[in-house]
Amino acid sequence: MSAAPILRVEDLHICVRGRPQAQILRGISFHVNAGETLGIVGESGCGKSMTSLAVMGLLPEGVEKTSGRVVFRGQDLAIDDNRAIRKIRARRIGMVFQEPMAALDPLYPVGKQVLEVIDEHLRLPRAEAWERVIDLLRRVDLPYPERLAWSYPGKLSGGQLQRVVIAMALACNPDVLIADEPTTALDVTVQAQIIRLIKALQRETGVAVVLITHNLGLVAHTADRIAVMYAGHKVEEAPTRDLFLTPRHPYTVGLLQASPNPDRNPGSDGRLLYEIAGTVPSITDPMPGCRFAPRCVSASAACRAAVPTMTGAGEHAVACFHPAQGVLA
Amino acid sequence: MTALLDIRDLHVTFRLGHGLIHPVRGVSLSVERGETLALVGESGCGKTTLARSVLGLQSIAGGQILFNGVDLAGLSRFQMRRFRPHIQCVFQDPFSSLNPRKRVEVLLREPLDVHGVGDRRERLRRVHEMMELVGLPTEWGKRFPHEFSGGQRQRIGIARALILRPDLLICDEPVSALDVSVQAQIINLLQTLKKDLNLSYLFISHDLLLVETFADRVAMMFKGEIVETGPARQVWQNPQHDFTRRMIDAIPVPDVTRPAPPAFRIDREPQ
Repeated sequence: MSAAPILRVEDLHICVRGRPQAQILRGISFHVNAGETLGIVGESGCGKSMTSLAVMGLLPEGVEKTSGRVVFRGQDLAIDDNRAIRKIRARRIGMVFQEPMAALDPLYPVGKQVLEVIDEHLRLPRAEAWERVIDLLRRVDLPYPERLAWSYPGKLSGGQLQRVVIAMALACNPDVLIADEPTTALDVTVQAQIIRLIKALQRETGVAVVLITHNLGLVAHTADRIAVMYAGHKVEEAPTRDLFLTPRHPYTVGLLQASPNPDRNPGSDGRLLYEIAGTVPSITDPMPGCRFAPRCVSASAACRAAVPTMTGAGEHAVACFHPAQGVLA
Repeated sequence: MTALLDIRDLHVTFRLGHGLIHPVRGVSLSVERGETLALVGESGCGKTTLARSVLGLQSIAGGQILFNGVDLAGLSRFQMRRFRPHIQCVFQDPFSSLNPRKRVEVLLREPLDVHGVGDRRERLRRVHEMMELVGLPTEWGKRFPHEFSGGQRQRIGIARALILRPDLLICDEPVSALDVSVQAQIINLLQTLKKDLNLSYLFISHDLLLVETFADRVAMMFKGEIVETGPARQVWQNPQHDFTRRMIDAIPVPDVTRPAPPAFRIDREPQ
């Protein structure tokens, strides 16, 4: 495992096209090392999917990047129109999306769709390319790959489809795999199979994994490091153990307490689960301070006046003026 | 005392092309008054089909659905109308289950209109009373569903289901489309309403970890059959059926002091 970051995102800002006040990402930075799994956690609207699309250069029509860099092995990938850069992105960074059915064309056999990726990027002779397709399908543990390659997506289960999508993402031996809610549409037993597959492939190839999810349980048992996002900001980052045992941002604390956990007793107020009151602010809301302040139990005047920056000792950093101290009960 | 809902040997079949599929295969279960029974299973196990047959939205192939001792399956459409107010439902998707062209006040009043409850003023009073109960400011009654967040929309769905003062509320994955922090708000709301309005719940979910925190009993459904029932905590701590064990082995609890779920371990051979 090398310590040099393989992928680095620096101070990424994204807004609605032509409306600079409607900010979707408000300065996101993170990195991932070879062989490592970084978990990015947040609820809907926090910008976690937009972050992955920005890394892949797949930002939708209506939004634009206003500043920030995406650096892969020291090379800036932000120059979107450069063909060579596009090639690096397509070959070196693989992506797995939430809905496997939406990522595949229902009118082509799945093997052909894996082949398309190989044809586009690797230029192998026909027979060799097809052999590679079969090999990939075998590596993602699909049964009878020679036969299954000729199946249409409609004939496969959700878990099998997600395996095909993972095979496509791995077709060019990428250095980074970005998995955006890869198991959210799947049953919990199938989720476990997909997670085990990703972990096994990571051990085999040393690929760096960025796992984007809303599921705290999933990152607790898969990620080495976790970044927590809220309303377009990264609010906390720490090694997985530290984040769960000594969370510092009030939002992280709230999320952990709101998650069902059979070992924790219900709160003293008689409520079953801890609630974070209120809702996420609109992206156009021009509030000057911390965007979590309106929902925060420890917010002060300072929080409403200025946006806190990331500070912290060692690998544990938090963007909060009044971070929690001590161990989560 | 008879159970509020008592399902006996229920069968449901669908015709598919030339064949017949059998999504509910002899299910028996009961919901006592004041109880929350969670029906847990994976996608396609038949749990929603079961709920639809209790609501009279799905014809059944055999068995009995006793509500307060009366078999709903034997009732005519006209007779069924009398029972509808007593059994209501909250759906999974708060985005598609509300008519986007109607104001919240109208959406909430509709069940009262249909069943001819009270006069205009009485209906409006009950709409406002219900909005307060589920935590929606009454002045939002003039708004349309799209002006609300997912959690707020689910509050509207709950208010609409409760406005006829039912005895049994069937909740079909009511929080699985919601974020964790909002999920907690809705679960707590359902719990409070249950106490205040004397409700019983049939709570359908794929999330055993969630229902473990608040259901009284759990029924595990697998391939159209109930394979295990028991007190929620007991099923979680001491599962008896192989399906329940496999599910629990795959659930990641958000707690780093616990070992990773056995099904996540790559040194273990796939089953």
